[in-house]
Amino acid sequence: MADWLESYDPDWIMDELLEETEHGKPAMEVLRQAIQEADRYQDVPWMFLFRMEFCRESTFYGDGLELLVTFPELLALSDKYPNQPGNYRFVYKTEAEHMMWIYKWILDNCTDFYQISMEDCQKFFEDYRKRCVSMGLSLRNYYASMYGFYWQIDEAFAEECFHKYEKQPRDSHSDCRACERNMEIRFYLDRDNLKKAEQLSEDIENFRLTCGSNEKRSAWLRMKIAWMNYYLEHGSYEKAQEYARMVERYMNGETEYECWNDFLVCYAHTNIGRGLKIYKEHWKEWLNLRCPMDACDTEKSICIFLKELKKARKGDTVKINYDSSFPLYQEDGRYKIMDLYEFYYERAQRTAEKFDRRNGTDYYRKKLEESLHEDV
Amino acid sequence: MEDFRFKVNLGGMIEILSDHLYSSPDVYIRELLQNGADAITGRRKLQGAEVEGEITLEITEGKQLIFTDNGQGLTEEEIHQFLAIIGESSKRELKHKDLRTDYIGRFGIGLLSCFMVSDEICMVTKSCRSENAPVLEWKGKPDGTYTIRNLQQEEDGQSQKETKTKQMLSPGTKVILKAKEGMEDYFTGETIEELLTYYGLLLPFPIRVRRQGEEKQINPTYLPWEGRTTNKQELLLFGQLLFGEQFFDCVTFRSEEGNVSGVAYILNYTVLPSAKSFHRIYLKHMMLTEKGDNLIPDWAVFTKCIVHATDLRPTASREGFYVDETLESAREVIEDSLIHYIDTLAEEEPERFVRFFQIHHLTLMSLALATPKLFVRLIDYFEFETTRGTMTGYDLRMCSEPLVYAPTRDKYKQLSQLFFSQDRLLINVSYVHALDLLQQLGRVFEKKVSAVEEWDIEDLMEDLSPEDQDEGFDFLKSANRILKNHDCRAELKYFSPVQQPTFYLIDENTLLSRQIASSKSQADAMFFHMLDAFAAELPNDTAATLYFNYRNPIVKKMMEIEEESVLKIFIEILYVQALQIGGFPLHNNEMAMQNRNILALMERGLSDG
Repeated sequence: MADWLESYDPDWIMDELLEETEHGKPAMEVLRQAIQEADRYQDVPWMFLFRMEFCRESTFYGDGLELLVTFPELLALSDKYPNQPGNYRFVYKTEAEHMMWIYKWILDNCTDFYQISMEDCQKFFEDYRKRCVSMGLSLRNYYASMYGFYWQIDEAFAEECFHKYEKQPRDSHSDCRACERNMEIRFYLDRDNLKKAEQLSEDIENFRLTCGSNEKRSAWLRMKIAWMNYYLEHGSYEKAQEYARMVERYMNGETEYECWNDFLVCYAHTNIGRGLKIYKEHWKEWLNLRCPMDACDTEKSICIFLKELKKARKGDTVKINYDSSFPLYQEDGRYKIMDLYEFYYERAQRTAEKFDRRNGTDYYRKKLEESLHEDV
Repeated sequence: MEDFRFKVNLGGMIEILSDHLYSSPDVYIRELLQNGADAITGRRKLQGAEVEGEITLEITEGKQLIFTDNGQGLTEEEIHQFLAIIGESSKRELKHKDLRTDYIGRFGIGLLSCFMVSDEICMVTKSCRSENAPVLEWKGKPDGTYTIRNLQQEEDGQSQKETKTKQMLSPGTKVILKAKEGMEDYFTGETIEELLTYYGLLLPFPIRVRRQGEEKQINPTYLPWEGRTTNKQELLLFGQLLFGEQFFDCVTFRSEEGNVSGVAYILNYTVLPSAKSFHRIYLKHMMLTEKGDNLIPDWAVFTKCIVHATDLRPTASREGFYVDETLESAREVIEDSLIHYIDTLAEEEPERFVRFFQIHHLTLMSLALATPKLFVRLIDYFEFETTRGTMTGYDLRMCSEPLVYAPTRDKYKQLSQLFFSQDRLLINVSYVHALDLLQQLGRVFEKKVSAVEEWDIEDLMEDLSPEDQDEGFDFLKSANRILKNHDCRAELKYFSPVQQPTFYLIDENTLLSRQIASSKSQADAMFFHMLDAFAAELPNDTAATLYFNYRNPIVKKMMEIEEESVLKIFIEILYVQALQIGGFPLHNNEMAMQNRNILALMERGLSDG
């Protein structure tokens, strides 16, 4: 048993211990133990709250996998105690309502984990929809999540969902206006409607719209990241770099703003030295990514970077101080760029295939090939 | 096709303004000050900079306010133009450049805010455009109707008191407001003085308040940190008056870009990095916002700043500034000034720096991480929990061993005994920023920094001699058979401390596997397929290891047990105990097993006795 649990004090864990603990793994470990203790004492309010915090931590400072593993417990708890009053720290009347907020993250994560079969994804969406209806909640979030899930699978259907989302009324369960606005900006950027996207960005740009989360700049950051990605997609690397600099300056540790792989693509075209530095600093964490979508995206970015590195270098090799956990590890630290490229390419291709198999598309394989279309 | 025009209900508009545009009726003072200041600027433009501006407020306690400025005043034509059309501003006619730098207001609706506190706005004005300009009275009501009178022509018909109140011998404008029911508090001397100080402290001409036969000036008319020889003690006193608290120190800054200057006051108490800071940010001498977003660096939560800017662009809501290059440059100047302060304090006043560091170490961590130059200066002072006691960044960078860290609190707790007993260094980085700081230290000072790995831990244990291996052979075989049910394998090793019988080692995948099993035991069947899919992707060799310490007397005794059912009790107890010591969540069946085994032991003990 952890020493801090010798006398069980959930308020202290929540308000003091977690405050001084680093986000991510350290905080999740504290919460994992706190859940165990709350379960042991059958302290129902905290059985809910610690699980919810764990899910939040996994979503914003982890990779979502722990969220997916823990959420079924939370849902079971919620079904067992449907009238459990909400904790005063949050705005929800009941914990069942709070749970629905977290359920939305599960739907968002369906896109990112090919391990969740299409049939399961559909089941989760349908279960969420039914719960919304029975609790009298607007289906606005449901359609927003459907749009997010289907836009790489069935564009026409996704667009239909987006318009249904627009028609649904906002309610207490809706995302904050700034988060919704960011989704709308991405929608128009995906359709190259820059004028509309710019117009929608204005309120976030001048902080008239800010996110309801604790982070005062989070909506602004998301908006900048959306624009950076737009310019990266369209090969305007200098423009993307302007955004990259801004985002890097204001990144605050939340996983969703960690865009190092996007920066890598950006600098691969504008400042290869900086790109190499980023790669050297992040290769290890990138090798151990557990979210397959992140892994696939990152490996694709590394391939683009290595391709540009190959062009920029006179020789065929690069010196990198990997440790022995790197599968191609060599004592002398000298690697053929093409060997590294092949290594990452195969990994990216394998994951892309798994996503396409799950989704019944060729979207990911095509995307990978398109981004690496020039022969190396 | 026929064109139609909207009709605007002014009463409704005012409601909207008060509910949505203005945060509280307080702002009527801000709007009056703003109009007054702009009128003075306008007169200076027409008649030369030597015109000395002045604003006077006469308060009849709880009842009436007469707000007078000696600005440019308005002609009748201007009154019709600017006060009859909402959204029209006397400043719109100006060239863009003038509007940005010299005037405060832009939107021409400020005066309407007075309807929040008064049922009628009476304005008496005399234009400076001609010497014989008439004194005009404009009276507006919330329903949108207004009247204009030439007071000079009607002097005879006015009472003596009214004549005195509305007398205007020189150019300027008076706004006369009577408190509407329920708004009397906004007409008390105390409230008005407080609001004047808040909004107009930095206005460059005197603001005088007359009440109960006394007159006093509210503002210094100059920026206390500029031009004059204000010393640090005076600035600290000014900060104390402004913010109502004592500060540790203060730092002045000035940026040509955006024409930004001010003072950052260093707080005398600890604040969390997530704390919201409240500053006083003035634009063109008028209070704009308390939010320092964009202008004051995020990490500077340990400061309260008073800032004055003339060339930054306010957002439409006037609660902040647009992020543009000018703003970025101004922020960099503020950043550099604070960094320079910290740097100099560390260099020149080490004792005060230690005190400062103690108060603000959390925010300084963020700062050090974001600022390479300061990192080198600050890292030596940060403290880390290690198996050698508390070590500073300096100790760590001077240390000749590789810097091995435990990423979580419980991993550290679990391993620290092993590391300590063998005099090996292990660092706990579960605290906020500790890992980032350590990794940065490794990069900057070229030290090897790595997370504790399984092989680090195995290096702390010794393999058994061939004789002892023979001795422990049967025990190990039985232990492996018993622990197999728990996805765990057994190993016999020598390790310190001797009194520790076992050590449980689990990798991330095994931990995840345990979590999946736990979740599945409670989850709805809808999730089974997903959980199974995650479990199926885990490597096949995923297993935990329970190391038995061959030197431990209990383990030695356990080797003498011949009956496997008895050995099972002891092994399972040690297994669950090792899980608990390691801080791993126990499954329900493990708790039940522990209880069952303890009862069995008690029963055996009692029957033996």
